[in-house]
Amino acid sequence: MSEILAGVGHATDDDSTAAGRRAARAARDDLGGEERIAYAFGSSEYDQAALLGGIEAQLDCPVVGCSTAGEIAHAQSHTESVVVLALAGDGIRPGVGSAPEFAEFSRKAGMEAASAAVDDLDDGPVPTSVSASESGRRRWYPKLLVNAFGPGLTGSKEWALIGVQDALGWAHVSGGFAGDDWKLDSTWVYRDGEPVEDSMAVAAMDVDVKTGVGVANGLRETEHTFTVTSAEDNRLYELDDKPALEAYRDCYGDRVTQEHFLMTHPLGTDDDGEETHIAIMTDVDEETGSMIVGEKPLEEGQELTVMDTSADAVLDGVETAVDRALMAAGGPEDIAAVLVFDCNCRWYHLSNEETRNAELDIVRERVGPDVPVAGFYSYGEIATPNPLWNDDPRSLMRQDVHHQSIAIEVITNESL
Amino acid sequence: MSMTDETPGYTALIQAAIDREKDILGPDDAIECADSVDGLVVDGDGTVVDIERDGRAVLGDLVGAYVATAGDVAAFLIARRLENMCDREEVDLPENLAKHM
Repeated sequence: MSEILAGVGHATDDDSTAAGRRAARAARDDLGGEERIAYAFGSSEYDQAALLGGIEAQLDCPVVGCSTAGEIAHAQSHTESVVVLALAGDGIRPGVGSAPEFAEFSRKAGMEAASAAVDDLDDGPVPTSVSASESGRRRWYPKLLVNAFGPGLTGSKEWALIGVQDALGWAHVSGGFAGDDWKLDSTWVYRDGEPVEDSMAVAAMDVDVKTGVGVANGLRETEHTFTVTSAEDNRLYELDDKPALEAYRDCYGDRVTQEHFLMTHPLGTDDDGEETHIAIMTDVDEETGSMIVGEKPLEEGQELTVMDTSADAVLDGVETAVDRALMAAGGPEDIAAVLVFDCNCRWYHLSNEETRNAELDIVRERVGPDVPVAGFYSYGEIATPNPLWNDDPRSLMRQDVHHQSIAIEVITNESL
Repeated sequence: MSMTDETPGYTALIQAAIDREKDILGPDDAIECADSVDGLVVDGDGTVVDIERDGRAVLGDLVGAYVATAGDVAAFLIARRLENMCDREEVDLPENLAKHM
């Protein structure tokens, strides 16, 4: 029977090298096996090269990950720290890859990074999923578990994931876009132990165990739904035949241009039959009354709904995400590790450390008290939806990039 | 970390916090919050006119007022702005701000 071992280390040292060393050593000591791959998520307050130098000094395996807007270690919310999750065992075989020029050629970067990761497995053709027989019926599981990390502030996230898809088809992908502690200045991706600003990094793991990815935002639709009457690409000019800003102001007054308002009143764009996808409004232009909404082109006639971001809704989303991940992983009893990719914007809805930890308590309750849990607060979440979740044909629509969402990856110790 | 040549006083830090929150909450709510802080006098544009008690305490109460309105993400965002202005080793910042810097 295949086995995966996992260890988590967390450090808050002021010194970057010492923090990296301490977190990596703790992960290794917690592991109980020879490390095969490690994920590192570190605050941008650290000198990134020194941080990774400290991590690399303690681990004899590829290291991938990125800078953060907060870290998750042992199912607790942290800032200005570093967390390392190391994996070992014969149940996984990792390959890692990366590609530059993310800002200018996002799709190419995604495709090349994913290709390089699978090439690193040195296998020739690689199956991305398998069909397993269970209780008299068949269902599929990922055979290639893919984690992708990209810059949080440049390039096109959507196109980067299309690039990953170009190389890997319907491989199951999860991960996140790097953060920088809310400074919105520079983010770093960890490319095999080196911090780089304009690259995508991908880890592709050939797994012999069941894994599952779940994602949800939990946000609920309000009574305010608009119809797009004029748009060009993702710039929204008119809602309900009025300048978009004016239509929004009619509902909410002058505060519609505030950063806090835009974050706490995102728009729901389309749904997968179970949940509405979220687009964040940016770059409000007072002169034309227009605004940028998400990354995808908007269509005339499309309905956009203002979403409710109350804490209750956000916490419901965590339950949904974990349950989806567990269901996708076959309802496991033996979980090796859990990765969490949580949107930094949810901090606007979960107003303090206590409520942010309430999110992670839900994860902890669902997966069990002793399971290693690590992750980070991201500037965009990556998770391939699993059409097993519902029987609505819209669930087959692929949507890998999510906003104001939490993505959960469950790695089990149960053989395929 | 980039810093100015001189360590700014509390007045400059308080002004920077108000200005940051004007972007986040909008001018009306940001100025109303500032106006509610004991010992802090601001004009209609949110410009600091006078600080009538200990500047560190006023800065702490101002951050506390923004946290009460918008959650502790407010303290985090103000800290990000202020860390470009001062060295935390040289300025005695209130605890609700220092823990984010």
